[in-house]
Order: sequence, then C-alpha cells, then structure tokens
Amino acid sequence: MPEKESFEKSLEKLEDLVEKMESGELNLEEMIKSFEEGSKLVERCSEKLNQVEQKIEKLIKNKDGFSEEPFIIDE
Amino acid sequence: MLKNKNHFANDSITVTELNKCVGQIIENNIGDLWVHGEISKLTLHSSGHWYFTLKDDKAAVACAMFQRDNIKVTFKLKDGQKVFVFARPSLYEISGRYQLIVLKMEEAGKGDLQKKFELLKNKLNSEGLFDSIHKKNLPYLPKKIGVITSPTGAAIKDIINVVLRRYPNMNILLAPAIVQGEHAAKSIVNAIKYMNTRLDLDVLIVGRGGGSQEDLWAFNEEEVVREIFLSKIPIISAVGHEIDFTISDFVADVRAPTPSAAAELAVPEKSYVINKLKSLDNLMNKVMMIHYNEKKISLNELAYHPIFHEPKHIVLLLKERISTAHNKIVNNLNKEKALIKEKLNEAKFKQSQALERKIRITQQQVDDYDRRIKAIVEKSFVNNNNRLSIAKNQLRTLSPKSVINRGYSISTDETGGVITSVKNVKKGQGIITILKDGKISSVIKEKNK
Repeated sequence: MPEKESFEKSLEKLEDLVEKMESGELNLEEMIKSFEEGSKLVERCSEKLNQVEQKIEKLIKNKDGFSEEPFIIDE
Repeated sequence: MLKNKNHFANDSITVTELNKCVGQIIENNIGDLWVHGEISKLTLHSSGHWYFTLKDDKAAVACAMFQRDNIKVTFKLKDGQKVFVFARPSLYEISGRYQLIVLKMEEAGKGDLQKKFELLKNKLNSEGLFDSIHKKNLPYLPKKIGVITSPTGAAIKDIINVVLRRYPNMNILLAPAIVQGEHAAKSIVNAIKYMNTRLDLDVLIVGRGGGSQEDLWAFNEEEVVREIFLSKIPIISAVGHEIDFTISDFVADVRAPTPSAAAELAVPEKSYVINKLKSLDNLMNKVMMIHYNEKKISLNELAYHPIFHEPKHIVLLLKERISTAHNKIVNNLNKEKALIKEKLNEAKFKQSQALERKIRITQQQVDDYDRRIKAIVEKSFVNNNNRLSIAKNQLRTLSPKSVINRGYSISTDETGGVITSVKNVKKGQGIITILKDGKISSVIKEKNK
C-alpha cells in the first residue's frame, strides 16, 4: 500500500474488501488475506484521521514573499 | 366622481369629496409606473413601513413603502441612495398631498451591472468555462484548507468555526484578500495564484459574506472568474447569501450558498468518518468470525467422520491411495520405458548406419589389402616354387636315403632313435641298422671309445 494513497482511496478499498468478504465467494485463505489487508487499511485510515494537529494560520507578506503566522479570530 | 361641474355655492362639495375625486383621477389616469430618483428624509417607522422623499435636483415627491412590500428589498436603504421604484401615484386625502405608494425598489446602477453580469456570463459560458467536464472533485478528507477572503470579515469566522466543529484537528491557511472595491479583483487573483504555488493545500474556499451586488462585484470580474477556472486546486465559491449568485459561482468546482456551507462541503464530520470506519471494521470482524465458525463446524464434521474411528476405513483408503499411486508410478515408468526404447532405437539406427558405413570402409580396406597380399604372395609363390624345386633337388642329394644308396647305413635303437654316439647305447642293447635294401637287428657285444 503506497504511503501517498489518499484517505478516500483507502476507505474505498476497505469498503470493496468488506463487500467481497460478505459475498461469501472467498475461501478461507482469501478471507484471511482480505482480513489482514482490511485490518491494515483500518489502521492506516485511523492514523490519517488523527495525524494532523489543529493549525489555523494566516499568510503575511514580507520581502521574500509570504510567511505564515497563527491566526486568531477576534470576537 | 363628479359627473357635472357645479357653478353655485349651493352645489359645493366637501374637502373629503374633493380629495377623493382628485385621488381617483390620479390613480385612474396615471397608474403604476417606474420612477427613479434619490432617497432623502428616510424614516424607517416602528410599524415596519418606510417613509421617504424621492427627489432629483429640481423636484421631490413623498413616498411610502409598506412593510408587505419592503421586506422584499435586499439592500440596505439610506439617504442619498439612487433607486428605481415601481410605484402607484395617489393622493393622501388627509393632507391633500399626492404621494407615491412604492411597490418594488431596485438600486440604481444595478441595471447596468445586471447587463454586464449577463454579458460576461454568456461569453464565458459559450467559451465552455462552466462545463461540468472542468469541475474537479473535492477531496474527501483534505489535510489543509486554503481560504481566500477578508481577515476581518464574517466569512472567515464562520468558516473556521464550522470547520473546527466538524473536524477539530484540521489545518486552515488564510490568504487575506481585499473582497470589495476597486482593488478586490486583483487581490483575489493574486491570492488564488499564490495558493496554487503551494503544494500543501487540497481545497480552496474563495468568498466573502453578504452585501449588495456592488459589494460582491469583484466575484463577477472576468479576471477573477478566469483565475478560478485556471486553479489546479479545487475551489469552492462562497459569496454572500443563498440568493446571491456571482459568475465565480458558475466557474467554481462547487458553489456553496454561504461561507458556512462552504466549510461543510470542505470537511467531513470527523465523528461520521470515524463511525463509518468503525462500522466497516466491525462488519469485517463479524464476517470473518462467521466464516471462521463455519469452517470450524465443517472441520468438526470431518473430525467425526467414520474414517477417523474405524481403522478398516483407513486401511481401505490407504490401499486405494497406494494403488492409485502405484498405477501412477507404473504408468509413468511405462511411459519412460517407451520413451527410452524409442530413443534407443533411434540411437541404434544411427549407430548401425555408422557401423555399416565403417564396415563397408573396412571391408574395402580389407579387400584392398587382400588384393595386395595376393599379388605379393603370387609373386613370391612363383619365386618360391623355383626355389623349392632347387631345394628339393638339394634335399634329395642330401637325404639319408641317397647317402645309404651310396653304401652308408644308419643305426637306430629299438624305438627308432638315431644313434649318433656310443654314449647312447649300452652293452647287450638291441639296435637296428638300416641299409639300402633292408634292416638288420643285432645286439651290442662291446662298446669302444
């Protein structure tokens, strides 16, 4: 499974896998293989869901172009 | 209505009757019409009705717009504003002043803008800029959202609030832009250009909060619309309210009715995604468990099969398997054998051919030798024949017979051995003497050396 694969793609793959497993067309060996792959996808998706820290930033123009600084909403 | 003019004081009418008459004349003869002018002396009455004066540089007319009509006005009314009104001229009977009852109101200049809007929209539409083929899909879960709007407006607050409510650990990057006035278009264009040079943004929200059509006009500027079209990053347009449509909305990959709605389109609800993932995980585990249990059952069934309890079955089974294996082996061997035989025959054939060839060659050689030997022998035979007859003659002269013929004799012992020395005989021994015409037997009396 490539690292660059999007969350959406991983989720789609997982859905397909589970659907296939549900269909009852797989033999035990294929079931185990699918289960292993599916478990990896679940893990990867959960990681992706939590991997980013909240960050709200604003662009500031400077001599060299742009830089970022935290943006706070003033109520 | 007064049908006949009255000329006498006796026929006089009341003021009320007069005003009613004048009012009817105005209403019946002028009717509803569009008027334009500038608003002054605006009063927004607590009753909900609006009162103002519409004027130009030379004249003025009092106006009233009742609540049921003025709720449809979307812009904020203020003194000095130029407007178009669709109104019914009438007489206010109480004061005897005529006035306009305003039924609809539009901002002046809007007609020009609307014309410009339609022209540009049609032009870009015919160029195919709005075609669905160009629409990019929004990412399901962006890592970072870019927002192009005013840093002080309501839009950015709404967007941040909605995004963080739906997805607490999301990243947002704001590109501050001027969204109103003559510098707005350039500012928005530059922001879209810059955002597209970054590689960390998965989706852009471009927009601003509500306002008049003039306020939102930057989003109808051709350069803004074209820059949105060129963006590699998917763009959600979020300009004004639900009812406000700008050309940016048509060209954007997705149009959001409001900035808050744009935020909802940009990020999924985290809890929803988590639940979806969890339910998939659970379903997978369940399916696996069911499958596993099924297999376990069939394994158990197998375990209780008589085969595993009655040895006779096992023996039979084994026998069968062995015989199958045996047959297989024999078949294979036969096949192998046939193959080898074939190969052997082939080799033999080749060999015999070679051998025959060799034999033929050898035979030739042998024949050749034979001929040569025969020739040599024949030659030497002739020679030898001559030599033989010579030798025969020689032999004849040398033979003991011819010697005996010349008067010599030969003595032998009784076994025929020729006696050549006295040492070969003993006293008393019988000897035979061969002469030319017979033999004499005698006994040795004495031996002398």
